[in-house]
Amino acid sequence: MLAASLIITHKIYGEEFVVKLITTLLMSVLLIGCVSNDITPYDYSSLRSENPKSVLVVPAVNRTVNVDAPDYFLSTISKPLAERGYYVYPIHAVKRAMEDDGLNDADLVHGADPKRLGQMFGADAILYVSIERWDAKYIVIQTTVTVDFNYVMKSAKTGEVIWEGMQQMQYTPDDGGGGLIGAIVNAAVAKAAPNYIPLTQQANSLTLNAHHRGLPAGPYQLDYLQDQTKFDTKEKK
Amino acid sequence: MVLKRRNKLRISRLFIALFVVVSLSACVNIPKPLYDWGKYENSLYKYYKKPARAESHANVLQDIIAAEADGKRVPPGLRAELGFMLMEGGENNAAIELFQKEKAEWPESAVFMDRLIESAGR
Repeated sequence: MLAASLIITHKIYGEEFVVKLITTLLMSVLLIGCVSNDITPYDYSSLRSENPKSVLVVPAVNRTVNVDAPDYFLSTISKPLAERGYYVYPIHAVKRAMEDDGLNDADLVHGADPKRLGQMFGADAILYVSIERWDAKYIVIQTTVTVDFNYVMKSAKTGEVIWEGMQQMQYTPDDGGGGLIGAIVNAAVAKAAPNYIPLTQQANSLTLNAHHRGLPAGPYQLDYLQDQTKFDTKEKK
Repeated sequence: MVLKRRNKLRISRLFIALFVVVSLSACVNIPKPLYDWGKYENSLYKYYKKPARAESHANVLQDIIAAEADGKRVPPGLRAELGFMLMEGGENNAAIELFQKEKAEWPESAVFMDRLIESAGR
C-alpha cells in the first residue's frame, strides 16, 4: 500500500518531493520512538542488589503456530546477552543437558524451580522468553511479520523476578534495493525459504540495549556498575 | 542541471541516513563488540533445523576459537558448545580439554563444566 502510494506520488510530484516526504515521515516516526522510550525507568533495585554475573537462557516457550520461532530466538540470544557483559551458558549444551534430566520441553523448564535450574548449572540468573505472537502477513508484494516477545529474568538464588522486558515489533525483510520487481521476487523467495535471523537479532538487541528498559551492563562490559544514568535514572537536562 | 539535481538528492539522502544513525544512537546505543562471533548465529540455526549439519556447525565453532590466535576474543560458552558436540561424537578427550579451557577462562561455568568433564570421563 505504502509502496504503491509512494510510486504514485513519485509520478505526480517528482523524486525530490518524495525524498522530503520520506524524511518528514521518518523524523516523526523516530521522534515518536524516542518519546515513547522516554518513559519512567524500569525499577532495577532487585537486579542491582542481586548483581548477576552469569545468565542461563532456557528454551523459549512458543505460543504461536510458527514452529521455527523458538529456534530463531535461541540462535540469536547468546550474542547480545554476552555483549551486555554477562557469562552466557552454552545454549545448545544446556538444552541437551536439560533433556537428559527429563526437562525435554520448554513448558516443563519454565515451570521448574528456578533455584534448582540455577544449581544444576551454577548460574546466577535465568532468562525465560515466551514468544506470544508471530504473524506473517503477505500483502501483495510485501511480507510483514508482527512479533511479540516477553522476557523475564529470575534470580537463581531467590526465584524472584529481577528484570522484565517486552518487544513488540514489525519486521519487513529488506527489498534489497531491487525496487518493485525486486520486491516481488523477494516476497516469493521469503515465502519459499524465509530467513528471520535478522528479525530475532533485532528484537533481542533492542530489548537488551534499550535505555531505561534494557539490561544494565554485566561484569565483562566496560561501564559495569557505571551505567545508572542510562538505566536506573533519567539524565538531567 | 540533471547532475546538480542528482547531487542535491544524494546530499539529502546522506542527511536522512545521518539523522537515522544519530536518532537511533540517542535511544539505544550498542557498545563496541567484546567478542568475535563469526558465523555463529546462522550456523546454530541451520544446525537446529538439520542436525545432520553437526560437522559444519562444529567447523564454524572451531574457526571462532582458532581466531583467538589473531587476537580476537572467543565469546563465553563457545568452547563448551564445541566440547559438547565432540563429546556427542565420542571424542571425549578433546571434549574434556575444551571444558577445562572454558572453566579456566570463565569461572562462572565451573559447576556445569565439572559435570560435563565427569560425564565425558566415564
